[in-house]
Amino acid sequence: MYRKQIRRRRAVLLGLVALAFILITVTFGGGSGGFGQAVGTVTGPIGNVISDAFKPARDLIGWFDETFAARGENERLRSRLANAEAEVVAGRVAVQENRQFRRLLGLQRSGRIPSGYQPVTARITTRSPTIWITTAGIDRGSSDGIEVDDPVVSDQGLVGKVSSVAPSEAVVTLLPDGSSAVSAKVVPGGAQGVVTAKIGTTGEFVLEFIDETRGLEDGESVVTAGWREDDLASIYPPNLPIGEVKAVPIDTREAVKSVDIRPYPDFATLEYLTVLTGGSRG
Amino acid sequence: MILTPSILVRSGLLLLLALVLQTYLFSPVELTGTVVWVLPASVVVFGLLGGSLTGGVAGFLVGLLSDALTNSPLGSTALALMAAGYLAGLYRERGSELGWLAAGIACGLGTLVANLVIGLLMAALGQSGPLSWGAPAELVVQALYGFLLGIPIFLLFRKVLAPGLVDDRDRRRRRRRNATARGNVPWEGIGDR
Repeated sequence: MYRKQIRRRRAVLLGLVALAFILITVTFGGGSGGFGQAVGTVTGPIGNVISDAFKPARDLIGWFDETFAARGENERLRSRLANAEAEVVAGRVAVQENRQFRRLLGLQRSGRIPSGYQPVTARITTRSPTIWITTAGIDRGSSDGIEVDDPVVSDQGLVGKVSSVAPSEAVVTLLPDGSSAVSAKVVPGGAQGVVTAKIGTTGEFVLEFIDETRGLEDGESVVTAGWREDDLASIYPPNLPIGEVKAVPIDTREAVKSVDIRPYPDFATLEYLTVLTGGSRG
Repeated sequence: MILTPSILVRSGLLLLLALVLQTYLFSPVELTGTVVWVLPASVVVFGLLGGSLTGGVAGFLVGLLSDALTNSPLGSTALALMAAGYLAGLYRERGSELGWLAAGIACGLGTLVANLVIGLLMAALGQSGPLSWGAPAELVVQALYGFLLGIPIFLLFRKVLAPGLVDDRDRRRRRRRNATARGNVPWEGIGDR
């Protein structure tokens, strides 16, 4: 009797493991698929109400987080202030250059949306809790014109793309997700490559497969390349800011094939996003 | 755990509560640089209270819903949480003593195991990029949150599911027998406190 129980128990667990692998295989590459959309459709309206109800509690947690972060931030900011005072003159020149870059790149943070795109502002309601998968749920969906693969930006730059849509909500796969890859170029140098994230943090990207490394400098801007070739096109429009070159190894500057990127958006504190709907890709 | 209809309803509500808290309270915000992941602790507690089968099934169901809500590959979190719940149940079935401290540690380890299972799965599927130096630290911090949250979760779940817990029934019976042996026949119901 006892052995029979154990056999039955093992059969159930093995069945669940097999079912999990089948589901992963079936839905691989497409998020949670139709089941996820069905759940999203059902829970969407309720979820928004619950999310609003939890807002004070989330703010409290956020306050604790900011308090912890502020302690370390304080010392760092003091030393940065000292450096900044010495760099005021250089800063004025940089501001002038920055204006030129903005005109050149059409930066989203200057308030300009790429032509042909309609912005839809949405609030983040959910996030994936694991460090391996970085997605965020937003409170706007297909009824607002949002479609799968629409680019998503914050006021600081590109943050990801829409990976699934329900009528009243959508899921955004953020750039720190392991599956994200964006064709990008460095300005003003023009070197091109692919930006991917380093898993386990929202603050480290890497620009790989650079086709031209001569002249790369720390602090140079990295923006979307936005290519188009025949019927194929990048899902991201050109010149959306991604980040800046963080570290170019000095000794191997001319041989380097990848460089670290510091993203412009602070993914840890994102609260509102803008989905760029419509538009011609690339 | 004796799975009566009442216990099943209570279990479902507890897991739903954990899922709602995870999705709408903990997931949207970060604390010291990482998201608090409460689901592994919840299924580990189920494993500790109900055994490997209960833990495994609870982990699978909660994981599946979590995958659907966060648009993760369907089955990935389910597999990870099932592993955490199953291992917690095995620990329990070996007859180990179960106090709040042991439960907290099991929850912390369960969170770590669940994270590693998903990480391995994503790596096997070619879905992971270069690993950051910050990742191990983040895993440890999440495990620490699992430990800290596991203790109140264990106490809450044990209280709510008490009528279905075999150990709890034994304890109540022993208490009643001791009271009778001392000549203090308790009033009806007092022994159940």
